[in-house]
Amino acid sequence: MNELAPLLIIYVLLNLITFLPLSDGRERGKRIPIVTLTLIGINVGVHVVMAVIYPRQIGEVQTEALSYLFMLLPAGVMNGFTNGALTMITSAFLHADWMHLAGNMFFLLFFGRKVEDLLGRSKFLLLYLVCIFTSGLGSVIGEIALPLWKGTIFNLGASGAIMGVIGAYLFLYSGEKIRTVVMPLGFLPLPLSFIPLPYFPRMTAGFFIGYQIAGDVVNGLLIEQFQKLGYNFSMTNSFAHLSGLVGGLIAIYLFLPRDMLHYRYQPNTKQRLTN
Amino acid sequence: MPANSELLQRAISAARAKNNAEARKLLLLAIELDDHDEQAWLWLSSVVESPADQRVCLDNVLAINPDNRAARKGLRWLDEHAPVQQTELEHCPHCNAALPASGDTCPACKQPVLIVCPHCGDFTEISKTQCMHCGHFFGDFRQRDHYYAALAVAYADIGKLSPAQWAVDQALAAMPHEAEVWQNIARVRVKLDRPDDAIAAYQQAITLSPDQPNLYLELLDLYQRENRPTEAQNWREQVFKQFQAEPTRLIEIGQALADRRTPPNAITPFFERAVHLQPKDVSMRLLLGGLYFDRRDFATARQHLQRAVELTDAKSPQGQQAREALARAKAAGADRSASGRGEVIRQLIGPVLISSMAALANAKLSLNISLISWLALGVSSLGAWLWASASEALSSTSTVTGRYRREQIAGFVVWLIGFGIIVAKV
Repeated sequence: MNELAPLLIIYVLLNLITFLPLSDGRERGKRIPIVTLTLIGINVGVHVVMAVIYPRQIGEVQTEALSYLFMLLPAGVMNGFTNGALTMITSAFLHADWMHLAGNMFFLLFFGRKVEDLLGRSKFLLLYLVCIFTSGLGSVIGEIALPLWKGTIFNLGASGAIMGVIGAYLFLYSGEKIRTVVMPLGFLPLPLSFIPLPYFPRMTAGFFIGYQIAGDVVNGLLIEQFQKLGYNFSMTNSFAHLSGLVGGLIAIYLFLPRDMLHYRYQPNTKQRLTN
Repeated sequence: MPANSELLQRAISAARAKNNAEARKLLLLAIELDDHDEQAWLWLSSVVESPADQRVCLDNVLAINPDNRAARKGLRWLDEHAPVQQTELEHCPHCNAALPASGDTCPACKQPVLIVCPHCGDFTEISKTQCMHCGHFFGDFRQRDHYYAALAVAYADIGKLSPAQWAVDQALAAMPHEAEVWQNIARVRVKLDRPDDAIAAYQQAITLSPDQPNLYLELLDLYQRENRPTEAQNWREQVFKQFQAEPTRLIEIGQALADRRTPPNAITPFFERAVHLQPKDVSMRLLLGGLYFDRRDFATARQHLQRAVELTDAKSPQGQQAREALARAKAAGADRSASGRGEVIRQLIGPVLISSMAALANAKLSLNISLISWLALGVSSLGAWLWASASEALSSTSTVTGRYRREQIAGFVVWLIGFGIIVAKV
């Protein structure tokens, strides 16, 4: 256990505070981000049905049983018990609770509309699909290898695909400055932790996203190490996040318009005025 | 003029032999033959006796050649060791009464206040902005506060640098907190070849009046002339910060910088910010699109020009201009990127990857894919190819054709059918 101490310290430090993006230097697109808004609408709609309407109509137990049909079960995919491809898609539209949904949709709205603005609607939808599948495959491969779970835990949430969208944003605008709000999620109890600190630091997209990636990498390593010792460390699916991110980085290259292959955004604030 | 050069040679020899009287006589003769002989005036300044005469000689050298460093150096030495005493506007030239700070007439003798034209030395009424004798334009001197600063510029313009320096000192004493005075002082100091002092004067002017873009621009010019790129860059950032909330000023400065042949990447932030503040301004969009085009960033150029096209009517002149520019940006962008089959393959991979991952997930992450899935994979790949090739054709041409649009939609539908079959695990 002692050899995990450095990783644990890094984990605690990374989770002391959470940064939420407020704004960046990107001009707001003129077009309405229809795909992003539709995806958010579907996610919210599905959650309303599964968390509010169905529990009242058919009961909570039946709703939960129904939702398991649409969640991704890695062991089920490997054994052919479930429709792997379909559950990879459906699980990306299910959320555990309102906070889970709100967090994911916030990030999708912030990053998705900017990527959609550049890629166009159809290509953004395809990028989102690539990210759904890469994150799903990452979950299956990662969780099957875990000694404790062995792929028997159901997966749900859009975060893997959203990490893909964030990866695409990183590819395009790594130097962009993002203004953030700091939430003391890690060291204050729940109601207090949602009161943002009166401090709005600006950081490059590379640093902001790197911070999220670092958290996922450390979390993934700790999940694996703890499970080797017979303990469950966290329910956050870092494998889905990281594989979704890789999927987004690949997909953005594949779907970028041909004349944007050489495109690297130079933000105003960082652009050096040279002679 | 061999006779003249011979005279000059003889004068130089005499001056070197410390025979100043002989040298002076020969040099005056040479000047009589050619009063634009720069060397003769310069040598004469070294053999005349009074500092006032030396000043006249050196001023004449600079009037002939404003870049003559020896003359500037000599005048600077004279400024330090024998400063000029001039009191043009202290007393009335008619009655010698002390003059008030403003007004066109002397309160004692009621005669018009006269000033000495810095060009011809004759008296001219202060209410005129041009010399009545030689026609030299010397600015509006009626406001006594601004008199010395304007006089300094007028002197500097005609190369009379010592009086210009004197006028600068007077201006500073009279109005130490006026930006315009400091700007004029800076201009004179530029002519006096004192760049550091000129920069300090511009900075002082900017401190006193930070909302005048021309002050920043003149300072930038000076930095560029002095080959000081880092400072120029800092001041460009400063001017950007100062006017970042004023789109019209930003455009004005951006265009002024463009006129000064500033590289496009240094000008772009000004236009970018202006567009950010006024996103529906088509002219700004077109300007910015053009700048990005010049920077060969065709993708961003296309984005701005596309917005300009969307904001304008196709039949309006601006609309046509936007469409033509967009077509050019599209064509130029296409030239730089992958083309033809390679490009189609790149765009094809994404949709095929999605179908393949779905098939793989359904086949327990093995290649043991069912026959129907293989067929569906083929169908979706075909659809993806149709979609990608139509997209490629659309991005290569500047005009949108219905045929490619239809092919694009058809390809997408075919791909979706194949993908649906795989996902549905038929």
